[in-house]
Amino acid sequence: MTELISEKNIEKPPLFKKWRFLYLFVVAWLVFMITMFTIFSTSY
Amino acid sequence: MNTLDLIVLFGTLLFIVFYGVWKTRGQRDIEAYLLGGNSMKWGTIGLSVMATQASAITFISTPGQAYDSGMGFVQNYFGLPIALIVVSAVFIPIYYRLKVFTAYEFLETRFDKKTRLLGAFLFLVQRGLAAGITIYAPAIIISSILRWDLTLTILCTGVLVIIYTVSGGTKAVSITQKQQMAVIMGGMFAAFFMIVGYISDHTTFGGALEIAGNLGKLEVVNLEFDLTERYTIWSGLTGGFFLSLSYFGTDQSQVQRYLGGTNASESRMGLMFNALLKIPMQFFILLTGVMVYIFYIFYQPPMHFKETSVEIVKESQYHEEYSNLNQEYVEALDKRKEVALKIASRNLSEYDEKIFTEQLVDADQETLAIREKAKELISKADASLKTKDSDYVFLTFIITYLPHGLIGLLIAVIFSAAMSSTSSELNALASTTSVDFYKRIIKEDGSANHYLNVSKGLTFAWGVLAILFAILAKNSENLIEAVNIIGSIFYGTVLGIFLVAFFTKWIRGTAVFLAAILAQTGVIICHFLTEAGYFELGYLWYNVIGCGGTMLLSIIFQMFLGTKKA
Repeated sequence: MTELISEKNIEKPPLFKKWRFLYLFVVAWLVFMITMFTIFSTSY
Repeated sequence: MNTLDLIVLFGTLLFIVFYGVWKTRGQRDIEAYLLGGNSMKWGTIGLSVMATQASAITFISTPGQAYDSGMGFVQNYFGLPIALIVVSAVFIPIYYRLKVFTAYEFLETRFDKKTRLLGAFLFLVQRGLAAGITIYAPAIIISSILRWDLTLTILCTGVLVIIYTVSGGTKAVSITQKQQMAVIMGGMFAAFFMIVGYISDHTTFGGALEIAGNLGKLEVVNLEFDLTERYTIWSGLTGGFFLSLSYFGTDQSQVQRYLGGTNASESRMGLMFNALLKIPMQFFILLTGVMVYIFYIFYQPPMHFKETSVEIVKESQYHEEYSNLNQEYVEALDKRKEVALKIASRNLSEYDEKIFTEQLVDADQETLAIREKAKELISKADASLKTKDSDYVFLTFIITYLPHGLIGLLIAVIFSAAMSSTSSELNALASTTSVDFYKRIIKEDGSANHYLNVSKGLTFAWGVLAILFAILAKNSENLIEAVNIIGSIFYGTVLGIFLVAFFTKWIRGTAVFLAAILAQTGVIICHFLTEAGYFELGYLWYNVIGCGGTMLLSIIFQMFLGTKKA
């Protein structure tokens, strides 16, 4: 099989630190949405 | 539909098809064909992942679901953002490191050939069935409402998809999905604002929400822990998590979307884009369905939305009974509208508001009871007719009340959504058959050009199979659930295999292979026992059972087999 992805694409460990904040932001966004939906459900 | 609608509809669809073919002309090798030459940026990946998941059923069935039972369905997606984080952090680095074409190639690296083939086979079975439904579901509804020939509608969708998917492969799928998502979101926003505009002749948007809330349509979050309830926050977070993890991490129709990225970071960004936007998008589509419900409080709805069924009962011995019932229905609707208008005026004392709210709920229940009686009459007239009409609600509204031009655009939305999902499915089915079966078992030493031609031939063959399956398919009570149920039956087991692969080092191929077969059999038995009424179990739990069963049995079998390489 032809090699498709060059070595530079292989994930390097330092990148995880950068991504951790985005993952936390996504979790916070989910919690925010569930909270807003709960408030929305009880308001009407 | 008039000429303007047809020009908008066919103009939009043909533009997308020719754009896809033209932009991907002259592809010469399998890498470009199956992985889009690793040239996709995160925006394209994000929209492509979203368009693959959002099938036509999403835009037909979801508003209907909200019309029938409110907005609780959005909970189904609560597990999705967490699952996408796991896919980004665990699955993507491994797929990129191993430079795979398909997710199942990884299973051979980790276990053995038979486990890879089992994973690929389970994918082909469930995705092959789903591809047929993806084409059939919008076709049955569109053909029924617009009085188009069903077979012709299926052929039209299928052939258009086959043209650009066979011609341009993964890149054609991804770039056409960008156009399709623009059409879809543009059309849905236009429909939403038109509905709110119509409602504003009677009440404000806030007043509409007030009425919807009083009728229990805005209960988004259900905190009760009840295994028999289909949608609760718990089933959404756990079952939805497993379903999404399996779908995005192991389903080739999704894996292929993000493996086409320039690098792993672009793929991750594409998935995070979905993690942030998927739930608001589903919420918006459900809210559109609720607004249609409120609209029909002020504008008289049909007693039953499936016109072809109504015609059958009108030609039967029950026509007089149906006509009387319809009269009763009109009176109940008038009563409901009168009370709703009083609430909508919003100048009520607290006491009056309470009284009118109770009256509104009673009047609404009366209309619902009459609708149920109408369904019974339809069943009596022809027992083979399906009586659930929620899938017809949104399209009936579009055809009856939206202006010409916009009708054409909204029908283009449905076709675009069907085409975007089907193209991903055909592309993935062909990749898996060619890489995991043809290249692995039949011919291992072919040239790049040979595999390119085989992949194109297989894309065409899967397209024809999907069209045939769609033509032969039988109607289902609720189409979006049918797709999710089929997915849930198989996804859990496949996910179990992948999780064992990622998170245990000592379990070998034979143990996981036997465990997967047993767990899959268990889930299928569970489904049939549930269908037969022996017990009640929400289908999202199949994912948990399949996944948990595969993992647990793998551990047990490996303990029996010993830790020597099996």
